[in-house]
Amino acid sequence: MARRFLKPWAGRDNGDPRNPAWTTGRPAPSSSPLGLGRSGAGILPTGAVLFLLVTVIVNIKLILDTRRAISEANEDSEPEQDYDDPLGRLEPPHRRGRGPQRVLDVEVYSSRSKVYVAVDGTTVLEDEAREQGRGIHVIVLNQATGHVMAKRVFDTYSPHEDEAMVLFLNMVAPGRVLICTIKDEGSFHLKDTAKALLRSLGSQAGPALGWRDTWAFVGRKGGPVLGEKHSKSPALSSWGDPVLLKTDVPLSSAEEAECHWADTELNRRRRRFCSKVEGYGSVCSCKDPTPIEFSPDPLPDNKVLNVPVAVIAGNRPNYLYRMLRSLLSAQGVSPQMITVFIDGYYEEPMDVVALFGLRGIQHTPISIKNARVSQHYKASLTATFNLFPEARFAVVLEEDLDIAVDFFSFLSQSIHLLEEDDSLYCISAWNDQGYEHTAEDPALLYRVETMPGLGWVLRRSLYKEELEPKWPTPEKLWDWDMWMRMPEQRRGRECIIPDVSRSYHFGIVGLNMNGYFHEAYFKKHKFNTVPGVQLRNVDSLKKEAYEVEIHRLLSEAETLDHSKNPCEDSFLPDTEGRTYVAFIQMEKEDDFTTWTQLAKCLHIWDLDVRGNHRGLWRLFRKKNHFLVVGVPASPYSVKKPPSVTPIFLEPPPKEEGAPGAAEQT
Amino acid sequence: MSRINKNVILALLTLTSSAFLLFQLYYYKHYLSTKNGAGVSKSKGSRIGFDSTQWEDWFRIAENMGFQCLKIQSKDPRLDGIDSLSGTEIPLHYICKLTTHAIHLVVFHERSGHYLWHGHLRLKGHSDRKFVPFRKLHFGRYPGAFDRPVLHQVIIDGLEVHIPKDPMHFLEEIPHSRFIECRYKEARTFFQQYLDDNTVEAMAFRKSAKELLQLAAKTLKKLGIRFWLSSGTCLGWYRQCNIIPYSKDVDLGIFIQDYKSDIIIAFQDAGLPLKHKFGKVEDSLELSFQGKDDVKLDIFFFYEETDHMWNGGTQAKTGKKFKYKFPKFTLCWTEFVDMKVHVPCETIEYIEANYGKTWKIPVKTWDWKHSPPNVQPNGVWPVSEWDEVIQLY
Repeated sequence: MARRFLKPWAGRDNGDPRNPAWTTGRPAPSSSPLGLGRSGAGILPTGAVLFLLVTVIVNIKLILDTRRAISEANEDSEPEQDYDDPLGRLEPPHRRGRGPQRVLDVEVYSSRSKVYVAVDGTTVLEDEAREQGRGIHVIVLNQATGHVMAKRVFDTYSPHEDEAMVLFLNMVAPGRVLICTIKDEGSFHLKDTAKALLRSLGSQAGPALGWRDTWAFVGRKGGPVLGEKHSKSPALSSWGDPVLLKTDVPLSSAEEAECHWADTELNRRRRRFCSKVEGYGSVCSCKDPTPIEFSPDPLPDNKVLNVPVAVIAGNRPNYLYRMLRSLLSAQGVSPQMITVFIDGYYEEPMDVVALFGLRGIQHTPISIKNARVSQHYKASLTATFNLFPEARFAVVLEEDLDIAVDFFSFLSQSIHLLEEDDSLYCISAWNDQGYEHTAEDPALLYRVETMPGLGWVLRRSLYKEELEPKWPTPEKLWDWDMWMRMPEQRRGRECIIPDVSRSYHFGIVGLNMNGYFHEAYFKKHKFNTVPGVQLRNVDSLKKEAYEVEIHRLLSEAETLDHSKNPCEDSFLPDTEGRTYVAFIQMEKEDDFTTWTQLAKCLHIWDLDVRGNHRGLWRLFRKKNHFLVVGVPASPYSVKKPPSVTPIFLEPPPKEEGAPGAAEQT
Repeated sequence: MSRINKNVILALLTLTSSAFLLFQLYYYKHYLSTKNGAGVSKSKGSRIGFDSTQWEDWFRIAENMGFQCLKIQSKDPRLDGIDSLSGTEIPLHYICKLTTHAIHLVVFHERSGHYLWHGHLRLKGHSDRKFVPFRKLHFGRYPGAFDRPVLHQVIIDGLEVHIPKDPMHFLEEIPHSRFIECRYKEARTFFQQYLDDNTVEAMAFRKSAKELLQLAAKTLKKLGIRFWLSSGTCLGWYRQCNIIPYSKDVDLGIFIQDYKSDIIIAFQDAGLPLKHKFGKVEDSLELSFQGKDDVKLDIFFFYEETDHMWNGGTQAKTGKKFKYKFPKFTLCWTEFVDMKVHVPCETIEYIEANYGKTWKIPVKTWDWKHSPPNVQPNGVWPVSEWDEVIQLY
């Protein structure tokens, strides 16, 4: 940046002909020479003539100079073409709902196959898609502006959705306008708690909703009800008649709709956020709002202070909110290094980003499904390295991760490995096999041949020189992470991971994700909550040192009783702090038959092979370090005592209807 | 009587003239002070990067002190090259004035290629064109690019500020700092029409060409020789913001007056042996160096005439000379494959001279002796000179 000072230019706009310099300047040179010829003899007159001559010459020079100044000044007043914006930028259109009007005209429609809500003639919800959008649709309007602040659908035909609805409705601030409407069926799993809540909102029909009833409701949180219509289903096999509710909603003043927080920069952000969206709980509480600025302790000797952090996000603003809270609470975070990349022009995620005062970038979606995610990743990574041209690394996060309090401390202690060891591909905060029952030691790191993702560090040179130029093009429907794991990309390099993960994958809704899948593979993942963990022996993670370390471990490990069933709990003795080794059959480098079965019965990730290092897996069982070596493919097979026969587990016969493709991230 | 009259007239004239002189002197002082004022203090701050809250604080404090402020912001050009990203706008200029003083704060943003960039001071439709005399500002008429200076702290008027360690270098850069952005939008349209070549060979060539260009730039920078992207490399930049994968070489232009005799040695030391040398310093000089992976570096030397520039070509077999004429041009900075490099500011004229009006359509077969519209025969080298002007290695 450069600062420049302009001294007064006030006297400079002399293009104006009224300026005295201009009018009096002219006659002087022409009138003075007249006196010259008439001057007589005598010293006094001669002196006077000389003086006159000098003044005239100086005058002429000054006039010329001034005229130059004037012409320059004239240039100034020319239209400043170079400085004009050729586009003539348009003001953004104002949102509907402002103006003198104090009443909203609301229409709500409920039926078997279609719901819609219109506010002042503008449709804010319309859903007539087949086979989706079943349940209770809820819309929250700002009581002062009529803006839609939240739009949700709770499939209360299915279990537990009513609990989510209760949670959501409880979070809505008093005074907001609530609109509910049912599509298809909304009562089957609508339990008493939810019905009681509907009753407390003043609804007559809500608590008595029955199978396939239609229902439309408009009310203010905390009363009064502004309109309600309900039609009972006459029989099990049929639906209630469609209902159309038309009602007027009086708007209240902006004063009433807002909280009286102290006027600070933070609260200005909070106010902007809270007047636009709903469903974020106590962040918008008038009395006791939860903080939006966290001042985690700085990290002494923070090696990742200047590493940019890219948060890859879609349209899951509630996830993003949770994620950013944990990220900003992590020790050693530097908010100005964070950029949130949003795939699509969604407003609400952008609002969340603004609430925390972070930088947000939107991305026009390219392609579909997995390829869309992949293109979003590419654009985000390229942008990150463009925005931080001096950065040698970038941290890549996703919107559905909790970040451990020592996430940056973990990276700060390990990032030098990426610089010093060419055989490394990434550092990841996630251990695919690190479940509650299989991870134990937060100070322990591993080298693995798989790339876990879910919070990881990418080297600039790897991205710019190798990955970016050949990133899958939009027409290839590939997962970016599966692509990164392919041998052509990974080229034998490994990733560093912690035993206990520094990120936690909480997303249940996602492109490749569903509730069952999350429950089975992610929920019981171990997540470090201890601050300031000192990592042990970080340099032993380098290529050669790690081999020494593994050999040491294997030498001191006790061989387990291979006659026992490895799936039985008793396979490992009830000890603590010991190291055990088991040998399993692994004919070739890519033979994971027995490992997959073992992983299945250990209840860890079994959908593909993860966490291996040259045919070795490391995990914890009953607080003992448990090593598994694949024989004979692993070079560590030499450690197998001749008497031991490697364990072989038969894969079960193929079943129909096994759970579908897995989330890979 | 007449004598008294004469004296009176003389006295009157002298008086008027002196009075006028005084007035003029006063007025001139005013003018001078404005002019000098504009040259005062050119301190450069140190913050690189962007922290929105901090900037806004600065802005607010100035306004609270009674300054009237104008803030110019725009899209982030660092995101422009990437498919359809749109971020929050970045600040480019702040101008704050208080009575007759103004502070112009230019925000320099760091970009890929180890350089700093500042934006164009572009006024929006409704802004006040007389807010300050914009033409008097040293920065903002055009976007600019500067080498990333090493900063050090000094105390000016009791205030700790950062200035470039080599202030002269920074000041010398100012008049030649004009920057032009690649035409990313047009490049995208181009790729929609012709699709990008993503074959392994194309990517390998791009990588080698990029490395060669970086090596050439480094070598020339060490020698202090200005160069610009020429021919196919320039077309690639202008048309598709990238290296044309089938172009097979990297083309640079250098003004003959910048020629230095140790250039060949320097390239050889950098691992780029001379492949051929055509012409001589006085006429049609052209050097080719052999890069890695069969990528060639061609350096054309440009000669200036009163109304045009030209560079020469030589056919090795026949000794025929060719002349490629270009309209006169000046040099601007741009960003190309993560580097700050020069291109002709008058790019379109340059490219149309070389490739004609149909430069937008990719052509894979190109004969340097006949295809360019600006080529003309230029006689034949005398056989006695062939040893000097046609050197093949």
